[in-house]
Amino acid sequence: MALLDIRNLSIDITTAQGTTRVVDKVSLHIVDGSIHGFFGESGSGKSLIASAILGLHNPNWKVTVDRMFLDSKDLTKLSPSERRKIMGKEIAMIFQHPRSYLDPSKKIFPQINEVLPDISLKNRIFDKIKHDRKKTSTQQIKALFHKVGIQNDQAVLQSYPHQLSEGICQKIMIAMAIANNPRLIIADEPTNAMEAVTQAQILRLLYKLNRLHSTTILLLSNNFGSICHLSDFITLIYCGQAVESGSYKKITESPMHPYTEAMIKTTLNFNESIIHKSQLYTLQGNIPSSNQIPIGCRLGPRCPRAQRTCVKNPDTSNYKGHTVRCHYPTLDEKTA
Amino acid sequence: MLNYLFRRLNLLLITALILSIIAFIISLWSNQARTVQDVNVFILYLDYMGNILQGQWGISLINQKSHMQNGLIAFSSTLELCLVALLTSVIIGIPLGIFSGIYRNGILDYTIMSIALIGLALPAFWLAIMLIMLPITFDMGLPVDGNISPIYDIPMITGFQLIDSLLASDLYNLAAFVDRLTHLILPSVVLSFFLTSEIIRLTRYSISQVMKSNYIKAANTKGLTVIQIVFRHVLKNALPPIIPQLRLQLNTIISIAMTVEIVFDAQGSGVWLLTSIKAGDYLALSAAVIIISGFILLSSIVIDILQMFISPTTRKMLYADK
Amino acid sequence: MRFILIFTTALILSGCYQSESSLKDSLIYCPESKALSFNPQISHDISSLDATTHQLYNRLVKRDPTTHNYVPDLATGWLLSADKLSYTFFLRQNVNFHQTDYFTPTRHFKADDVIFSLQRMLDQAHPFHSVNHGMGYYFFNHPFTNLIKDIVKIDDYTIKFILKKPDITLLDNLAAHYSVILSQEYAQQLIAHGEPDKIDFYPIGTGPYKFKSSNDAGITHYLNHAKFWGDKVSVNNIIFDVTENNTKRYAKLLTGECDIIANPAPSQLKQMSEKANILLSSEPTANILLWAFNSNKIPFTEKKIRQAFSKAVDQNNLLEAVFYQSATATSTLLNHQSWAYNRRSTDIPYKPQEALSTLQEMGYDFNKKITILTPVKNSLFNHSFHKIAELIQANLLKIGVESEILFLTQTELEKRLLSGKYDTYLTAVNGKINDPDSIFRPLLSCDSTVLEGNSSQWCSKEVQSLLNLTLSESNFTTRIKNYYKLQEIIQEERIYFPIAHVLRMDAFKINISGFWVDPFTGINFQHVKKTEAH
Repeated sequence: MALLDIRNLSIDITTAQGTTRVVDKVSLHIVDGSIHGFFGESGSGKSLIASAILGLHNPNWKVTVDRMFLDSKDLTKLSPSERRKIMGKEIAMIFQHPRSYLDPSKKIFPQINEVLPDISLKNRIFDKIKHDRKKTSTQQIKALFHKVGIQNDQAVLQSYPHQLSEGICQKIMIAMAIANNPRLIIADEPTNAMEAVTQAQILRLLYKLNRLHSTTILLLSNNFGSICHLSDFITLIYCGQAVESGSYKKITESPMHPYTEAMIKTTLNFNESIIHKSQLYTLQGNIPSSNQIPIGCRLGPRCPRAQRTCVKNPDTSNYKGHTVRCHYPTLDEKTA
Repeated sequence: MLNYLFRRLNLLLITALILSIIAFIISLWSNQARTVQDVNVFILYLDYMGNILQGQWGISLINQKSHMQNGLIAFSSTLELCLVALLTSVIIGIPLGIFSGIYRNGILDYTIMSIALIGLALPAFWLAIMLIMLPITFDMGLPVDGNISPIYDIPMITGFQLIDSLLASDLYNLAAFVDRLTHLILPSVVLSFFLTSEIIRLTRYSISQVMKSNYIKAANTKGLTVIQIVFRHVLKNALPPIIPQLRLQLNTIISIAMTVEIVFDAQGSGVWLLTSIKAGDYLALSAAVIIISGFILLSSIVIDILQMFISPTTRKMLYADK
Repeated sequence: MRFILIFTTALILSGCYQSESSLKDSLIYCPESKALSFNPQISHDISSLDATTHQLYNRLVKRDPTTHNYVPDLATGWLLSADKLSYTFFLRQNVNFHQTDYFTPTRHFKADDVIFSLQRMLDQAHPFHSVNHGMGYYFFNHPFTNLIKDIVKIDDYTIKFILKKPDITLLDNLAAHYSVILSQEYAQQLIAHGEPDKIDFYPIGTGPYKFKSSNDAGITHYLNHAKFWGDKVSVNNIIFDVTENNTKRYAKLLTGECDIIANPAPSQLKQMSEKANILLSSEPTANILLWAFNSNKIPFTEKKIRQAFSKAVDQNNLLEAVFYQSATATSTLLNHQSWAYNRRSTDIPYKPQEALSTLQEMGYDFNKKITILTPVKNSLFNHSFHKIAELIQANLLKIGVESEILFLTQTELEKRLLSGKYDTYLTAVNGKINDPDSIFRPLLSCDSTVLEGNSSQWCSKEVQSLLNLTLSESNFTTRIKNYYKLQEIIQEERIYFPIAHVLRMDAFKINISGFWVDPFTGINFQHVKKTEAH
């Protein structure tokens, strides 16, 4: 069943040049307990969608949505304080460049302490009798750190963010995120700023969290190759429009949208032999800038299959859970 | 850490050297200087530096005391004024700046900034003269002249009359202290118009910068309320950068303080310099350059060290440079 | 919001701010300028007099303020000899000099002190004669040099003055501000230490207050002289706080930083008179604002022209505009309180038509520009020579006479006056003692130079003989008659055009009483009382 159900989310931004529709009718259907990969190149609007979900978007933006349901709660109808409660407890978010998301003037310990769930009255009385409160907090934190894979927790707790590496900072952020056992973790390009070894560590951690604690993870990324193998479901978004969405198997085996095909082709598969110094495959053209967004299907100018009908916005077609938005999708015999 | 201090001191020494040359040039204008044509300027300069370092800064023409004594006493009076004004400005300006910064571009922000702009635009001496007219037009009984009432004869111990009047409490109870404070009210109101506007401006900018930053966004996602965010995260990050900015304004603050003192006839460095110049005693200018610029240099260092203690990111600079 | 906060803090503090002058023990007097020295022998400006004459010192005799008779001060009685050439004075006993931290007297006041003080001015060989002399001018020895032949000590408490010729002004001069009695013992101490200048700056006298301190900011502090021989004072501390700016002075009076202020600006008088807790004291002074015609230069050599010019100036208008109520119109050189004032002297009418016709009649050259010399620096009682000069200029323009106002500093003025190249001169003259001779002589005597006061360069045998005759005349009635005649001549000749007698005004809080202001010798705080402020 769907944990997060978003139907036709659109975001309009008014700039000095006029109103642009940066996110155009994106629908998102996240299944509970899965890892949902959300792929889009830089500037395609993934982070905007993430902040819109949490309600952290700039108040100048106009966000319209048909449905936004977290489990059975309608997120659009919540008051700010209820929204805030949800944010702390049920949805957590981790970010790119984790070190900048930690308060530079404080040590790690008080920052983690902030997010720990409040200790109930009973336990507090017990603490007073047995040991002091700080110890319980430290134990909780130690357990958290152990979960995320930080070995020397004491040293880390007494450091400032600028003294730690990005990898450790990201692990701390994840630790802060899972402190309250949220149902959904939104990971906004969590591994962009790191070297490969740490990337692998973080992704493995997320995978472990998903498997062991059945935490749903919405993983936003601009690297198709890395999320590909990790995700149960994949949604691709190009220039504010969700082009294809489906399970991992369906997307990798039978992609329908030309963009998906291009992306799959760009992932380097070292099984095949590549000719020395040959040009790697890309789609021709560039991502359009926000004041020159093409009308209709936004992949139009670059699409190898583009024809005149593509100036009209394509509708979403659903083929047994595999949604695509294209006038000329690749349909194989089974789905046709 | 010691390395850092040494490097700061290097900078200080070079600046001090340049300032001493300026002070030396001024002293050449003074009538008291020996008129020597064939002695080398460098030797004169070394002579002059020798005198300065030994504490012989020359005798004032006006009251026959040494310039150093006159200057230090006068300057401590100016410092008192600056400190009291700073205190009031901080108390008033920082909360206003915080409101302004958090609700940037809101109505509260616009009103506060307009008031702050008035404070920046009003010239200090005009405001001071207007305030002198207060007793005449509004019947307010605040003293408009002098440092302290001539009735109180306070022995000079530290040079800071606020402290001295407390030390002399066996003579006058607290009456002298209260008297000194009330004499400080009107001048520091004038000075704090400028200071408060500066502080509001700087605080607002700093806080709005911090509010845009990532860790505040993260704090939002953690589900904290605005008040919690402000007190726990924003203040500690936004306020320390204000201090070096204020330090850049230190010379403006001292200049305005001197102007205000001249209007209110308080016995500070403004009045001292004015009477010295009128009497043709230009060595006092020399002494003033040394005292005031020395103070500013010293406070620069102190503020730097303070920065190191308060803000961990600057501490990082120390280690990184190793 | 900031305003509200500041105001409330200020109000709260001003509530617990104990207004300084509510302390009954101290009186703060705010004069306009600093005293030049603390000895009226060498400084004659009104600020020095205010500070010193009645506070620090006593004289042999003094004038009673109400009856204007001579009463004993340090002298208990006196006798005039039959030949009118010598006076014998009997001195008071058990009079103590001040004890300060720089001097402790070991003996009482006696005759030696009187001889020392007066001989300082008379005897050129006196060790203190030339000390600080640069400050003194006309009055340092003038009155006495021509008057006294010798002073003889008969015993410790008796003194005899031998005069050069019979002259009845001796008592007047001894009661004047410059005849103060200094301490000879102190002077000897100073010479022994090699610091004779200090006698005028660290004063020792016998008066009700003694000198405590004075700083270069103009704040002088006097303490009560515990062993004063006369009535005890009720205020222990007198503080002189010099404030030059008159708006600030007024503000200080209102806030309580000053109890009494001197010379409020004429524009503030109206507001002050409406306030319930401020009183004004006004005393006529011998100060005359006058316009001098250079009788040596054409056209002012002619009496009729001088009269015409006098008729051309609208005196009342001028007074209205410049002085509000702080001056009285006058048509004579003497103030109306003087005993020699001729009540029958005619007022100067304002008749521009007559003036014009007289000028035309006399063949006055209307193309000529009349110069009006005006001092740049305003004097103590006259705050705006500038305005007065401009008003005169406007009046002259009405009858077709062009004039040029020259603003000159003191040095330039003196140069110009000495050279004689000027037509008119706007100035003010201060009488020093109540004797009419001291007013007429500098203005009219042939011996008096331009700088000494004869800016009209007047010299006439008639006036001169009248002056000299009257000086030595001992018959009072004859004196009066002579002075009346003198004034009639002056009116006729129109040598000067007197504009106004300026009043000396002091403003003070309602809880102060008992000080009196003598226009010639300054303010006297001996009997001042300060009650609780409301």
